[in-house]
Amino acid sequence: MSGLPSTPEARALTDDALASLHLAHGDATSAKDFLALADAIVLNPVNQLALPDRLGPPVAISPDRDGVGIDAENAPRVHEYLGEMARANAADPRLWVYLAFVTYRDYMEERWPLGAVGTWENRVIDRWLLPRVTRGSLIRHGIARLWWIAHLTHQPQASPGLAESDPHGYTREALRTEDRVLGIFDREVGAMPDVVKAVLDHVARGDGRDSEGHIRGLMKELTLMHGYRDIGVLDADEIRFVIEDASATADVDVGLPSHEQDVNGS
Amino acid sequence: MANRGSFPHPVVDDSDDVASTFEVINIAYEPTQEDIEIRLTVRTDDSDLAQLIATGAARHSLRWTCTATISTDEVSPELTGRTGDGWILTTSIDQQRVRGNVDADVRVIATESIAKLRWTNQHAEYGGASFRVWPGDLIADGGSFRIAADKLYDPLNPPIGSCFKFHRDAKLRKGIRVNLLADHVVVSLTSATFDGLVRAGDRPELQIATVVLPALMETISFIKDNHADDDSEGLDGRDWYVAIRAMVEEIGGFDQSPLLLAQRILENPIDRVLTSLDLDGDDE
Repeated sequence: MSGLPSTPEARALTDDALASLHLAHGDATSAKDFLALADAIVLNPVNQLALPDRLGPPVAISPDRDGVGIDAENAPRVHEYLGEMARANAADPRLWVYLAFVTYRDYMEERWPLGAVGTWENRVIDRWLLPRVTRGSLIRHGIARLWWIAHLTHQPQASPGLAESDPHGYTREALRTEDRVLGIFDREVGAMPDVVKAVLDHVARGDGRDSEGHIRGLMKELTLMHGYRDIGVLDADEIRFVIEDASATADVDVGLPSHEQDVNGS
Repeated sequence: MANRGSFPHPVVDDSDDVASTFEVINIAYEPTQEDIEIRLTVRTDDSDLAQLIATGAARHSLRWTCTATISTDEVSPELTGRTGDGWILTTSIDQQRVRGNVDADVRVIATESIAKLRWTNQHAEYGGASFRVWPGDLIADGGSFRIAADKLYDPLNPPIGSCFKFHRDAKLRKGIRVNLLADHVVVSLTSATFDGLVRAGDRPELQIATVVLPALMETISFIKDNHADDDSEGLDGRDWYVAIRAMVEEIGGFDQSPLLLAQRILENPIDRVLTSLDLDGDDE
């Protein structure tokens, strides 16, 4: 554990500090060595930038499984702490890398430990650093993924479905498993909030719809469909119909019992 | 479009499904601080397609995707002109939604169900077949282009100039005034002085030395007084305060004179102006 104050408030790193971290990643011969080098960089005030708004220290987050999903509670907490941000600013690696190495360091060392894995270098790239900002890297980064999934699924006003009484109802459903996160959000259609929420409503009905195979097949069908029909322009009812249609096809493709009766309205 | 597979109906594009063309030309885009403004021309020689657009059964569409911000949106570009065989379209993308590369697909999509779509020029292998088309279905595909969403403004490291706004005040008789109650530091100048500031636009160091420097000194003094007064209103919500505070902290903090701090932040504009003047005929 580094000599950090507990839950220091959010800041960002300078571009030079990010570059130095990447060099340290290349130079280090062990995870312990890397974290020592990293601490010397991230804790140096010269390498830090203040955020436009002072946020104060955050509520701590923990990777303890709560029966719903490891991060089902952590994502809302990070989202509430940082608040809504313009997506252009929320794609800034200077912010997320600082949060991973400093503000939420205890969480990161428990949730995405470096010493316990064979290839710590790959885990640093996937979960700690953000060498390239893409959809895939944002939903994999240890802290960015929490805010982004909450942001993409947050429903501030009550609405029928998973957000009837919980503005983060869709967030918690999305974070039930890591496979589900990747299956839904690492696709272009995963960037369409109305489609994502309709998919999660469908999945929440259970009865096999929540299996990873079904979700994977469904998202694949939606992606193929989006190639010839822009499903983002459809209204809520049309999206639901499309999902039921795709669901039936997906089950056939992955060899699952069909949900074809849903297409016929039952 | 990404992951484009085969279409369930023939589409006017660069394939031979329909012996017609649908092209996107003269693509231009201009980033501003707020938006990326896009202008393009699409043209076609297919009369069926033109008719569908004219009747409203189909419309122009642009879908942009930015993977770095996990964002995508579909827009119906504004028609700003016509050519002999095409349409001049404009649209814009909010800079706050994108970062890095943005991919844009240009197409025509159905706005309503079309029970029997049959292209006059469809490939002979389709024979006389007609196709059911649903709302949102692509019926023409112009391909895609890429935009680099360069940022003119970094909120974590904003330029000092972004903190100030200059106001031409017809009621002001002389001198300049600084208002620190707004989201920007508002510097009011007399009409004549404001006009002179504008005319000095090709001498930015002169503008900085004569107006920005004293305004920044006044701002730093205000911040110091605010910090010293426990009862005063917090300034944390104001962008200019956050930016200037960060700059001052970077050069050692507020325990220095406003004159010294302002000169350091602005890189000694007085020195730069006076040492660059050509007194034999420069500054008319």
